[in-house]
Amino acid sequence: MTSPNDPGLTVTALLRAHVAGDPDALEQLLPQVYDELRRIARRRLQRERADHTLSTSEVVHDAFLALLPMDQVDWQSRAHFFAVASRAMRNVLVDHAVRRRAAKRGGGAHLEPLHELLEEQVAGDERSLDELITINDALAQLEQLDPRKARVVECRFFGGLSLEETAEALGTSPATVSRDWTFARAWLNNAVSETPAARWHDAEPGAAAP
Amino acid sequence: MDHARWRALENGFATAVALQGDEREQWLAALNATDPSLAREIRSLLDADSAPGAIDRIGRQLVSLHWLAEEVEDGGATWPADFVLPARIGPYIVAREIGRGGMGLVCQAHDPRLGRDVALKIFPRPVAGEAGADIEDRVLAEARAASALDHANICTIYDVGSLHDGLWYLAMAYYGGGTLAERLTAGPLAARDATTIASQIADALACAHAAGIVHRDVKPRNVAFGDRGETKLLDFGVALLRHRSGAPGSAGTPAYMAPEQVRGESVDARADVWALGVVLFEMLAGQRPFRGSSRQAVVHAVVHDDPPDLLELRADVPPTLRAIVRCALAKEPGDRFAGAAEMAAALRDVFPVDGHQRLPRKASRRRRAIVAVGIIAAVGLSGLVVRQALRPNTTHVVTTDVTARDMFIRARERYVVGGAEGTEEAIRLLASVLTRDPNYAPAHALLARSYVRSVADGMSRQGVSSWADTAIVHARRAIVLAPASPDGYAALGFAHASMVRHTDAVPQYLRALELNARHTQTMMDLARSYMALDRFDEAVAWQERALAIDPLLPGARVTVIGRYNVWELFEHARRHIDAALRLVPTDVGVLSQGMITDLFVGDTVSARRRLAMMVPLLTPAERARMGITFELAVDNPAGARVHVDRIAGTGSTSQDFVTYGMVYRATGDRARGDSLLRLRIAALRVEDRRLGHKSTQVAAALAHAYSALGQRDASLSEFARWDALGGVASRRRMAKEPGWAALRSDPRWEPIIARMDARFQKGRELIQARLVREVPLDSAARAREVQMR
Repeated sequence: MTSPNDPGLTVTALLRAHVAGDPDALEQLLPQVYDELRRIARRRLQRERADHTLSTSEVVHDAFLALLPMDQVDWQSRAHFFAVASRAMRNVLVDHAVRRRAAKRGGGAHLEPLHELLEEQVAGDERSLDELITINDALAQLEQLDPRKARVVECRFFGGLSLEETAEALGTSPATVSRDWTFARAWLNNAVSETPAARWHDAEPGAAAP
Repeated sequence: MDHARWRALENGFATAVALQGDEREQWLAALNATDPSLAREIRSLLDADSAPGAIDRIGRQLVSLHWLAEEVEDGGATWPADFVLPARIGPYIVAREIGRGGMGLVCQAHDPRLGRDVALKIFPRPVAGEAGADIEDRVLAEARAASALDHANICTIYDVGSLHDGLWYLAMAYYGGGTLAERLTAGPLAARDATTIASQIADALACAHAAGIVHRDVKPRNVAFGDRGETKLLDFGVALLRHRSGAPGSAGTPAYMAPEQVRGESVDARADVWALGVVLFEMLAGQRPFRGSSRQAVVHAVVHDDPPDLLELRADVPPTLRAIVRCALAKEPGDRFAGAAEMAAALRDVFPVDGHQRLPRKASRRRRAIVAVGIIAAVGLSGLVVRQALRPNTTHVVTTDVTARDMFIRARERYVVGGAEGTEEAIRLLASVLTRDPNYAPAHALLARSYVRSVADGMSRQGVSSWADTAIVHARRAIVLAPASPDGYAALGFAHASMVRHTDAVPQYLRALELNARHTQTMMDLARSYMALDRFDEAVAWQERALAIDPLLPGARVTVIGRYNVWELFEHARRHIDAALRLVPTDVGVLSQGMITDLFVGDTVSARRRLAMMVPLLTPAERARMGITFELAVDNPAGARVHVDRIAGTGSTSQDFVTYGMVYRATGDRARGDSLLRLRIAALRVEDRRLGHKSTQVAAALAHAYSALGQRDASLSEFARWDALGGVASRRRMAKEPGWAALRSDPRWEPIIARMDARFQKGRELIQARLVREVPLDSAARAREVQMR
């Protein structure tokens, strides 16, 4: 936070613009938050690897503390930040899964330390990577049908936010979040199970080898 | 899928999911008759809802499994690795596992009926040698124990239940702020935060102890934080298990166990005190006090080793906090705090300004707890206890808004830092705090104090009296919101005192001190008001008490030394100077007062030594000011002039103008000197109006400035007014202090100074008499005191 272009200021300003309805703000905001999430995940996992792994919720909350100077944060910015960070976390994890899978299949993509670390989390086995990507695809469909439910999934599932935090972030009531989450969970589970998990392997024989 | 169809699916699912068994089937059958494809889709969603799917599997992998490492150390039984968490437990939808261990498995779940998250603790199936009934007893005992304890810092229990396959669960509030164990992975906490958390745990334990329950398993993993940062003590399971079975204390984490506990002896409340001491140590140092590579090594350390000195691990730990940790970690239970209540009281005094976590009426909380136990005994095993009805009315000494609380803490820091900027920033922050939570009493109290100080600092250029009125409004609001907290009364007294209404101020201060007998800042404020009311003996008694309690009370020592200098009680001044310099040898304020003491008693050598010590620590302006004081006292205006020229007006305050003016005049620059003196007089006139022409200090300052200017009549008139206001002046001092020559040359001066000096001598004797009782000097010091006069 010592650089002349204080990223905190930028993030705060972008958040305000996003809240005010500026369509470009989110585009600029996401990469910044994305980088911060990865930085935090990497740092924390390096330090705590011995006896701890981390939760997405912790990372998102840490990013909040790192990116937004406390005295510039109003209530609205805080709430919106968590929605944005949950979206960014979704991107981080999905990107990771895509690259990780490519690497495992000998695609040769360079593995960043984050990958190695997140391995314990997401990439317990190949199937998990596939499932995460499948969930993300299903979520994209849900997004078309019902954007609000997709946001709820981002906050709850990817961002690890509590019910109240999700409600605050999306400017709705906990009761609505509860209803949306119950429905979305069932819908996604349904959608994912309808997608034959084997399809990925069928498409690329031999990919499942460890 | 079109929008209407999607809504139909959504609503249909919401309806169906709320129905059970046959009702649901009937409803679906009816729907199937009219819209078979919708019914089919809903049914498929219902199936997906009741079984764990990819979302649940992946979701569990996205979060931490951090208990594993610690659990090995716990030495507890573990769950079979292949245990699969059901997707639904009773009415709850399981979201993710949070932790598991010998005592149970904890997961986050959702209660769709009430639309809230809960934490479910699932108990292992009976193992060999344990009958199913024992499990049942255990679950119900834990539920009852925790429910019986009605306290804001104890986890709320919602529900208990069993599943058809013998699994028992306990539903409790889900706290979204993580656990203390998680927080500690980021390193040690700020001393203030650690103290707040420890004191909330202590409050929770005090409640348990009052109900006769010893927790026995206090550790960071059993301390959670609510969404708004409030501390919650979890897991009374061990308390009851041990209690009932009489099993030796072999399970659990030895790192947090008291020596008597690891030895398997009987334990009482003081074992919890020990554990809290370990937790507090860990929060401050970032490491546990007793460590080892094996369980046996840890046990050995607990029983035999002294904990490392906190100060070596962390320099900024306040001495009181270090003492509290030491006391809690005494090997002999008899040497520890007798219970958590005692420890809580000690923790509250670590940061004395801090009134926010003070919860009033402890006795009645204890009564409530006992009543609650009675009710639960009457309810027996019938399950759910509605605790909300028993919850005490909210007091406004805490805020549930975590941002407001953070801002308040920063405001308090700014206020303590002080200066015009610090005060201004504090006011700005506090105003925001109160827009977020208008009922947060400590913010009202601190805002009142800040307004008063902003007036005193000359920050507000207009509407001075309305600022003071605003201060009074906020102080009264603080009292209404938290009548059992001393802060509001102290702030109200402070506001009255700023308007020179000391008779109104005193009772408020005394009330604050009744509520907290160790509120040292209030003692100093009270001393100031007593001084102004000529109750000098009371004043010195209170200031001595304040410093006895807190030898490092910011600003207090300098005030007290200054006061003894004014009363020419130089031996007492020296007593404080020596004490203060022993603690902080480079305390500039004390050194400067020490220099003044030396100059007064004619010890130029010591004065020069103190000046030399100070110089490297001073800003250029301060250095000049000290230099001028010294040179004028040794009658060297030319030396003083060097300093005045060097700073050339920069960094000067209006108060310096009299001194500068005198120096200019004494060194042949009369016009310049006069203009500065006139400026000072104009400023004093404004101040005089603000204070309703009632301040003896302003009258004295005006008399001095006019005298320095050579305007004898004007000086005499202010001097007479000073006298008429009941002023006190020492003839001796006025003979020594530069600038009074003009006034002293007037024949009308004599009768007035005679009266004022008589008052001074009377006051001095009064103080001396009181000091003989409060802090008698040794005979050598007494002899010096006589000599100095």
